[in-house]
Amino acid sequence: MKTTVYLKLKGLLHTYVCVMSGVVFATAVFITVFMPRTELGVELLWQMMLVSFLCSVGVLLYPEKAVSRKKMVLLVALHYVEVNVAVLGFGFYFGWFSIQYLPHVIGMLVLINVLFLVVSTVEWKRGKKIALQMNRRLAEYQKSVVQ
Amino acid sequence: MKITIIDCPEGEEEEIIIKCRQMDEHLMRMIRTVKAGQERLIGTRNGQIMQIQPKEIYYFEAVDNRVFLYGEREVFETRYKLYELEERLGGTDFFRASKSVLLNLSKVKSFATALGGRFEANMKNGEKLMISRQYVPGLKEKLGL
Repeated sequence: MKTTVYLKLKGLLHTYVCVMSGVVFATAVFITVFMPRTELGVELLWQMMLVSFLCSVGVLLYPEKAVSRKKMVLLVALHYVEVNVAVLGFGFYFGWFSIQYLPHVIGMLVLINVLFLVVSTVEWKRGKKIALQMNRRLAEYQKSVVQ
Repeated sequence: MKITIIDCPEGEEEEIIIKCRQMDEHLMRMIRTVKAGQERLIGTRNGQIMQIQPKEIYYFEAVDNRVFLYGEREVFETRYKLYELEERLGGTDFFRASKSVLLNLSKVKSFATALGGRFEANMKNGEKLMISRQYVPGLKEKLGL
């Protein structure tokens, strides 16, 4: 139980750091493109941190126990929807964009998708690196075992 | 390391003597492997009772309070609980891959990433088994990572 909570928190923190970095970049792009002359207050930083946290919290959906691939695809899709709802919902609430101005909404959706893809790719590559290390060790382990 | 094999006279018990300066992990594993090689587990299939060597087993799986052991193609049921098997086979090639699976590391072909930051083990018989994230640290430790 203790290990599960620790691993969940570790995973959440790792994702939060990735998402927050991406959100800083996405915000910079969005402001540069759509509102280059707007002066922004410090509250934007707190809003970004909150939204980043809400996007990251979706990783808690992923179970520690083994589940089928179908269920896992469903959970990833659910996480994706949760990210979209969090960013669009809170973005609208905080007045980041105007819902009547279509390029704002499209720009936001593009950034969400790019960010989701980037964070997922970073996580995937991290896992791939670990798998590679484990495979190297596995080969050494199996060689050293006396058959 | 020098390996000497001496003929054993008829009637005398076969014996392995390890002559070393210090017991290291490699030697310990060798001893565990030899011991595991002598061990036999009882499994049943179609009412028949069979003796199976742990090294022949790919993995154990608990399903609805019953434990099954999987060979390359065949499946047996065993009366042991998963935790009993884990204790009994502690220090050998077996490790916990999930709450319901005990997996033989020597039968793993490779590890791969799966969705949601998890890993799966591709077995030498073509099967794929999920490794729960909570058991990955234990696996890494077993592999010396």
